[in-house]
Amino acid sequence: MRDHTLDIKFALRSAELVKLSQQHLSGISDDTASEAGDLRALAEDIDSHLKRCGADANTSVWEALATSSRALACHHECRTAARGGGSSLLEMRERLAVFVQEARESILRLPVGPVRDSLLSQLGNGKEVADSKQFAQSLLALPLPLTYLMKKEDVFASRSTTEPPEKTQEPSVVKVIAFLDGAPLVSPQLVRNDTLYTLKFQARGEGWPPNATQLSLDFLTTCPSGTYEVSRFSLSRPSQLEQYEGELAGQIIFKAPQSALAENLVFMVRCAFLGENSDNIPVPTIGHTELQFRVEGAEGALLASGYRNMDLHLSELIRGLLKRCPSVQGELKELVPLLGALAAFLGTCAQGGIFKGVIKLSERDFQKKAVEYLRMRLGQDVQEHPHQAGGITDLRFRGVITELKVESKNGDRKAIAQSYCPQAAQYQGVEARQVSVALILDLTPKILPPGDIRDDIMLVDVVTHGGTDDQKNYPSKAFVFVINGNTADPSSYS
Amino acid sequence: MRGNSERKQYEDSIELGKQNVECINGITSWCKHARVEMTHAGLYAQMTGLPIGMVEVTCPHAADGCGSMNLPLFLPMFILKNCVGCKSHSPNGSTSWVESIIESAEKEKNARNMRECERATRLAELRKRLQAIPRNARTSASIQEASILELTEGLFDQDSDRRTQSQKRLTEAARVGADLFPSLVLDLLIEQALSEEFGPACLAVCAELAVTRSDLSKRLADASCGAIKRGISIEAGAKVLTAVVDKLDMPMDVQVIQHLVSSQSYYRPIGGWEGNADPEYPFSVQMLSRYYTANSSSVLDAIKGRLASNDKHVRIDVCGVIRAIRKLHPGISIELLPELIESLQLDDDMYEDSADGAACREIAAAFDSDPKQADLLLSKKIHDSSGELQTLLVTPYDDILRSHLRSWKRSERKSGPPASEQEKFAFARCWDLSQDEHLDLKTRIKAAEAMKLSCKYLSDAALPYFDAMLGYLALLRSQSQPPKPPPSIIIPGKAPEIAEMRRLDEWTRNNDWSHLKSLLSGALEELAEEEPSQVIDSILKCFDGLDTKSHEEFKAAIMGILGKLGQDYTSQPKLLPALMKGLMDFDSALIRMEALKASEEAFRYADAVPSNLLDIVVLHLQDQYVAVHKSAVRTIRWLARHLNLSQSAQALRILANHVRVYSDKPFDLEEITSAALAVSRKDPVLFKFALNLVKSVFPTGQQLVDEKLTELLCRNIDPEEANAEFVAKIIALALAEPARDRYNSYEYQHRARFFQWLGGMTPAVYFAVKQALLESASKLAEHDSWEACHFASLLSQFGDYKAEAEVLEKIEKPLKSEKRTEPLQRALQSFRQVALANIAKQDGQIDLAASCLSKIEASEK
Repeated sequence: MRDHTLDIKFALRSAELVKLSQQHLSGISDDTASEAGDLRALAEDIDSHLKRCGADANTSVWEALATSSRALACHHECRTAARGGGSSLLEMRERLAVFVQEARESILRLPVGPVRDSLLSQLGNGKEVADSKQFAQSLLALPLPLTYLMKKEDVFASRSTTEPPEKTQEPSVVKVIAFLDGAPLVSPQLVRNDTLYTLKFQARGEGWPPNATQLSLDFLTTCPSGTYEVSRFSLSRPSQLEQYEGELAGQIIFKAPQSALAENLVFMVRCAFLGENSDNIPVPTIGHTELQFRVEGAEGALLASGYRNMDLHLSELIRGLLKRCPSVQGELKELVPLLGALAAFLGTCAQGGIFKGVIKLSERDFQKKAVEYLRMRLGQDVQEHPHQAGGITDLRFRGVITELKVESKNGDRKAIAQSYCPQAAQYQGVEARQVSVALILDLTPKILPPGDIRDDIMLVDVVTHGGTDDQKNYPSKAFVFVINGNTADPSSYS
Repeated sequence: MRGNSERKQYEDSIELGKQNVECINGITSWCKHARVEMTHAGLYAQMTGLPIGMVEVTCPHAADGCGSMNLPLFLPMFILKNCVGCKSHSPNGSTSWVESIIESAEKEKNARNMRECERATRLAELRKRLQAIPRNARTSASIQEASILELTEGLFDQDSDRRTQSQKRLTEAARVGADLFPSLVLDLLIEQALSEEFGPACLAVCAELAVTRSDLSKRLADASCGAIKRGISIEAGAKVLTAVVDKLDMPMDVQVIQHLVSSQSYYRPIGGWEGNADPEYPFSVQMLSRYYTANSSSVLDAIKGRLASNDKHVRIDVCGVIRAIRKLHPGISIELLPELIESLQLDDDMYEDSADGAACREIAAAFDSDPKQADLLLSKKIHDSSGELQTLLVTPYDDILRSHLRSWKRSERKSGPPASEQEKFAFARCWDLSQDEHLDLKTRIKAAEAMKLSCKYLSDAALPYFDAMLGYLALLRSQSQPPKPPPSIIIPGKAPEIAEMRRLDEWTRNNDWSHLKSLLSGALEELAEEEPSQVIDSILKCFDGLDTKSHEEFKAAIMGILGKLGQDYTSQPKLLPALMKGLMDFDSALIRMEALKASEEAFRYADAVPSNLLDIVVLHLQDQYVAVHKSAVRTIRWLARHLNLSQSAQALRILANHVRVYSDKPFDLEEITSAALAVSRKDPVLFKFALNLVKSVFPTGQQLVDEKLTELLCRNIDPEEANAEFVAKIIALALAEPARDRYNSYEYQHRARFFQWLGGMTPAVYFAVKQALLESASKLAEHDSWEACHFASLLSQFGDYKAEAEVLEKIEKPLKSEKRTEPLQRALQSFRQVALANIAKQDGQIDLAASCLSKIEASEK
C-alpha cells in the first residue's frame, strides 16, 4: 500500500479509456486502416496506463482489452494488406497469430462467464479472429473497472544516498592541424595535379569514449570522387583516455588541374570516434576544420606571373568580380594576361628592389620601365599614348587601358585608388568596358617596412557619374597595382 | 544560542498576529462570500488571543483556498488570483484594503515588466554589438581561427541553447587548442570577463586558457581579480588565479580574499542538496589555501570577521569555508578556536541549518587536532559561562564521541576500531562535567547523554569508569532532591518572581535531576549490554550487598542493568537467581516492577524461559500495585509464546478482569487487549475469547486506540482466516470515523492498511460484511470525499458496481456547489457513469452502457 496512492486524476484517466474503448470498438464497421490505427493507439494507451496502475485486482480485464485491441488492429491490417496486394501479408498473418495467442491467454485469466466464453469462441483456432465485429461486440460487454490506485513516485529517489553512476568524461572538441609535405596548410593551398602529397593531421582532444577503438578523420567535399584520392585517416585508441594527442598520416593526390576561374576545392574535415560495434560518435573540430585547395597544372595556367600567392590573390579578386558583375566575363580574355604581367612586374620590382632608395622619378621614366617589362612578357600589343576619350592614355593592351602614375605625397592605398582610378575608368568606359587598370609607383617616404605585397593589388569600385552602382547595369571597376619605391634597407627598420 | 531568537520569534509572532487581524478584517469587509477559519493554534494564540496559527480563507466562488500562518504574505496572492474581476463579488463594508492591494500589485507588475523589457532591449543590443566583433573578423581570419571566432560569436548569441553549446565548445577548445585563439577573441573574452552578463561564460573560457597561455597570465589574473571583486563567477575567477599563481608574483589582495570567503555557500536547503552532494568550491579553497600559506592572518582575519556576524547564514557559510580549508591545513580550526567559541553567543534558531551546530563541529575538529589546548579553552569557558551557552559548549565533546558512530558497524561491534586518544579525552571530560555540581543541570545532562552514547559505541573508552559510575549512581539514587540552584541576584526595581514560575522552575529541576539519574543508569545499561562478561561480577556482587529498605532506588536501577545483561546468552544463568530475587521482593513494588521489565528485556528473544519465572509474571498480573501489574501486562505480551495452556488461560482470565477494571481508560485497554490476543494465540478457544474481549472494548472512545486495536487485529488475523468477518466489521467501524491525518502521507497511516486488508477478503467474507462497509462508506463520505473513494475502489475490486455507484453518489452528495470542488464533482459523476455502464454490461444492456459512457466528460489537462 505504501507504494500506491488513490489518485482522482488517474481514476479519471481510466474513465476516459473506458469511453475511448467504447468509441473505437462500437465504431468497427468496415476494415479500414484508420480503425486499425485507433485500436493500436488504444492498446498502447491502456498499456501505458497499466504501467502506472496500483494493486487493483481487476487489471486483468484491462490487459485482456489491450491484447484484444492489438489483435483486432492486426486483423484489420491484414485485410487491408490483402486488398491492396501487399507483399508483407504472410509476415502480418504470422504476427496476427502471435497477437491472437496473447489475447487468448489474457482472456483465459478472466473470471468464468458468458462474455469470456464468447470472446474465446471468436479466437477458436488460435490464429485469427473469426468475426471481428462479433469479437468487438463481446469486448463491449466486458465490464471495465476504474483504476483508483496509482503507483506512487518516489520523490526522494533523486536525493537518495546511493552511489552516483561513475562519471565518464564526454569527448571534447578535437583540435586538428593539417600539414602538407610537412608544412602547415594554408588556405587555399596551391597544389599541382598528378602529384602525390603527404597530408598529416595533428589531433588533440580530451575524453576518449571508453568503447571507442579509433578516432576517424574524413572529409566532406563536393569535388567529384574520380578527380582526387585521399588516404583514410585514423588514430588508434591511446593509453591515456583523459587527454590524447596523435598524428594521422596519409597522402592526397589530385588528378586534374582546375580552371583558373574555378572555385577552390573545399574539403570539410570531420572527426568521429568509432566503437567496437561500428557505432559512430561524431565530435566537433577546431583548427583546420576546412581545407581549401587550388589545383594547377604544370603548364597552361591562365595566371602565371611566377608568384604563386599573388596569382592566387588575383584569382580570388577576379572570381569575386565575376560573382558581383557577371557582365565582365567578356573582358577577361584580354584582362587576365595583363593582370598576370602587372603582378609579375610588381613581384619583380619588390624582389629586385628596383625602386629602392628612389626618391624622385618622372612618370615618363616610370612608364618607360613599365612598358619595357610588359612588352617582354606580352609582346607588341602593349601600346603607349593612344588617344582616347579626348585624352592621352598611358598604356593600352588589346583594348585594356592601364593608367600609370607616380605618387610622392600620400601612401594611403585607399586614397591612391580614389585619386587615379576615375581617369582610367573614363578611358575604358567609352569602349564599353567596365574594368580598367591603374599602376602607381609609391615614392612616399617608408618610415615603416612595406607589408604583404598582396595588399598592394586591389580591386576597387569606381564612382562614376549618373547614379550609384546599384542603379547601373555596368558599374565601373578598377584593378590597382601599387609598387613601393623609395624603400630602405630591411635592416634600417629594425 | 537560541535564547535571543526565541524571544524575537515571540515578538515576531505577536506582530504577525496583529497583521493577520488586519488581513482578516480586510478580506471579510471586502466580500460577503469570504470565509475565514482558524484551523490550528498554539500557545501564543492562547496567550494573546491573536490569530497566530493556521488560518484558512475560502470562498465558494474561488477555484482554491488559502491556508497559512502568514496571511500578509499569502492572502494577497489569493485575492489577485480569485477576486480580481470576480462577478460574484459582494461588498461587506470597506473595500479599501483589498483595493489597495490590487492597485499596488498592478503598479508593481507594470514596473517589473518595464524593467525587464528595458533590460532585455539593452542586453539584445549588447549581444548584437559583441557578436559583430568576431563575425567581422571571420572574413579575414585564417582557417584555423575561423571555428574559434564562430564559437565566440555564439557565446553572445540571443539563443540560450547556442550560447550554452558555444561556451561548452569554446571551453573545450581552450583546453585542447589555446594557441588557436586569435588576439581579438582573447581581448574580447578578457574585457567581457568583467561584465555582469557575460562574465561567467567568458571567465569559464579564460580559466582554461590560463592553464596553457602563459603569455596571458598577467592580463587573466587582473581580469579575474576584477571579476572576483565584482562578485562575478567567483569560482571561475579563482580557477584562473590557481592556474596563473605560480607564474606570477601576485600581490596579496584583501578584497579578493574576502570575496573568496564570502561567496561560498554551505547553508543546507530544505530537503538537502541535489544528489546529497555537499557544495564544493575547489578553486576558491585552493586559492585561500595559498593565501593562507603565504600569510595566514590575511585569511584568518576575513574568516574572523564573518564569524562575528550575527547572521546565522553567514556563520554557517564561513564554517563551511573553515571545514574546506581544514582539509588542506588541519591547524586552522585551532587558530580560530577562540572566535568559534565566541560565535556560540550569537543568535541562532531552530529552523533549518544551525550556526551553533556548524561552529561546534569546527570546535570538535580543533579538539581533534589539538585536544589539550582545545579542552583547556573549552573547559575554562564552560566554567565561566552559564545557561544555554554552557550547555552548548559540551556539544563539541559530544561531536567527538559521535564521530565514532559514523564508522561503527553492527557487524564489527566486537572488532571495531578502538577508541582514539581524543575520544578517551572527550569521554573523561564528559564524565567530569556530568559530576560537577557547580554546573547547570542541563549541562550535566548533555555531558551524560554523550557518555551514554559512548558506552554503547566506545565501550573500551568507558569501561575503565564502570565502577566509578556505579558508585556515583548509588550516590545520586540516594539523593531524591536536586542540588539547590545558585542564589539569584536581586535587582532593585525588578518585578518579583511569580509563584507559578518558581514552581515551574522547581518542577523542571526535579525533572532534570531524574533525567540525569536515568541517563547514568542508561549509560551503565549500555555498557553492560556491550561488555557483559566484564561487568557481571561487579553488578551481582553489588546487588547481593544491597538492602531493599535503604537502597531501594539503586537496587531498582541495578535491575535495569541486569535486564540488559540478560540478553547475553552466557550471562543468563548467572543473573537468573538475582532476577528471581527481584521478582519476589515483596518489600518493594519498584523493584518488582523493574524486575518484570528486566525479565522482558532478558528473555524477549530467548528460545526458552523458566516456567517458574513465567508463573511469577502471571502472578504479578494481579499485583495490587498498579505499576507492577501494568508492567506484568507488558512483560506477558512479550513472553506469551512461552506460556503453557494453563498459564495462558490463567493470564487471560486476569486480563479479562483488567478489561473490566480499566474500561474507562482506553490507552490501558490497548495494552491489555494486545496482551490478551498474544497469550491466547496458540489456542482457538482462548483466541475466540480474546477476540470477544477486544470486541467488548470497541469502540473505546479514543480514535487513536481504536485504530491501533484494529491494526493489531489486522496483524493477527489474515483476511482469509475464519475470524476475518469479525475483523472486517471492526475495520468498517474504525473507518467510519473521519480521522484521517491530512498532514502526513496517507500510505503510512493505519487506515491505508485497513483498506489493503479489506482488499484481500474472500468474496464470501465481502458479501457477509458488505452492509457494514456501505454504512461505513456513507458515514465517511459526509466528511471526507477523497478517503471515501477508497471504498469505491474496494467495491470495484469485488465487481460490485452497483454498490460502487451507490457509494460514489453518496460521496458527491455532500459536496457543496463551490468552484473549488467542481472538478472533483465532475470526476465523481464520470466515475458513477462508468459504474452504471458496468452494471448495464453485467445485465447485458450494451446500449444502456454506451449511453452512460457518452456522458463522461474529458478531464482538464
